[in-house]
Amino acid sequence: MRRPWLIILGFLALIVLWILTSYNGLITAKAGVDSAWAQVQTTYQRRFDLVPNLVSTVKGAAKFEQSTLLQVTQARTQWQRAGSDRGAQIAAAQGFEGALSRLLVTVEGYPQLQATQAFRDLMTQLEGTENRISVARRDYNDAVQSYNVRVLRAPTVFVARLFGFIPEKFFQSTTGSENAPSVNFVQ
Amino acid sequence: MKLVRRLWPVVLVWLLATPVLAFTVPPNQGFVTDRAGILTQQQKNDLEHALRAYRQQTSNEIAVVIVPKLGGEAIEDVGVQVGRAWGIGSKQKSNGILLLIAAEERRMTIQVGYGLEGAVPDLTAKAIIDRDITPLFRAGKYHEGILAGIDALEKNIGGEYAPDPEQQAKDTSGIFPFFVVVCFIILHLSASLLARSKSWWMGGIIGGVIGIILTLLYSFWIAIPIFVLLGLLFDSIVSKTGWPRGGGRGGFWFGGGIGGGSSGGGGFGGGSFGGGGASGGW
Repeated sequence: MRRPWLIILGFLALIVLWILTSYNGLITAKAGVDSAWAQVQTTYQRRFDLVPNLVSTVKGAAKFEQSTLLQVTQARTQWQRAGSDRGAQIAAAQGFEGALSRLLVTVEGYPQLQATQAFRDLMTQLEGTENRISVARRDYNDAVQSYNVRVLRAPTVFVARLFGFIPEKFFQSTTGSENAPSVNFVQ
Repeated sequence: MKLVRRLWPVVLVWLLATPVLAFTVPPNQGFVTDRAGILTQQQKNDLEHALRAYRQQTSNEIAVVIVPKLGGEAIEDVGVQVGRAWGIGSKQKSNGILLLIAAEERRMTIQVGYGLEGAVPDLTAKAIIDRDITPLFRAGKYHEGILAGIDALEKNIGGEYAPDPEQQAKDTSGIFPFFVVVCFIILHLSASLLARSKSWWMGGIIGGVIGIILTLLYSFWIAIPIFVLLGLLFDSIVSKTGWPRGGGRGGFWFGGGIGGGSSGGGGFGGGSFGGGGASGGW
């Protein structure tokens, strides 16, 4: 008489438990994505913080095509305006990448500029920042990967739908700039 | 030839699946890992000793790795890979530094763990490479160059982190036997309990409860069915064999002890790296 009820009750309890643990797993994965993104932001901020330094170093030494410098500073403004919109931030970062590589290509025509200690220091810092960016970006993509797998794969997909978890976007670097801007002229 | 043809698709899949891993992280041989055979055994021991003493004093971990070649990868990426795989530096502080040297490419990098990026900024790492290490490397004095680099790093780090008083107490090998004994006692008690009861399903329920607890703690979902089955099996075994009620003989369960859990080689603390540092060639 009471046996079936017990079984149904136990079954329901198991389902609730499963929903709880999948929800927790999703939350953990989402937090992983968010913290990885925060790291990406930090490294990008670091790169943008080098811009004034870059501009003053380059401007002083070479009668430079103003447009190249302008693009770099514009990308920085775009970044600042992007706020917390992830898509806009990615766009700004990619715009900056293009402008920076163009600038660095132009600099190659100025060997006396490259020889200054200020420029070499700047390149060292930029190089370190690029490495941090590539590491942070890879970590972010790894986090997105494991989060998306959870969100999209059955059976967790039902829990994800229930609580409104949506897949996150990967951070793809623009084509042709996978390893740009390469900062290789310090020896 | 037949074998090759049969294995070819496997190799192909494997190649496609791991496009970036042209470099494989070498096994860790301690603070100094020389895969290129640049250092003599004596020099290696000296360095090893010095770096071990340095960790004792400051809790910071500096590792030296010499690889024959990079396999086409950027040296910074290889450095981050090795640093993370080995976990140089402690887990909480990430206070590890990796000096990676690629013999064939004649390039080196100093990769700085998250926790030491403030103490050794990129410019400092670059200066150490250019000023302290490179001249000696150019003269073929590898051991001296590495020593000079380590010396400069230690000077720059200064007193960033104090020696770790928990370092000695953190040794978990003392806890493990205790854990096993506790497990054994629980197992023994429940065995005599289940053997006394006439039910065959009690073990399953106890297993289920253990599984639910594990799931809540570690969200290890599969634990529930596994523990239910284990519990049922356990109950049926002890019920059939007529386990002596109240304990007494213990030899039965000792045999199937838990296979020794080795804690990863090398003994680094699990620190992480984010690409900080600098590189150079000689």
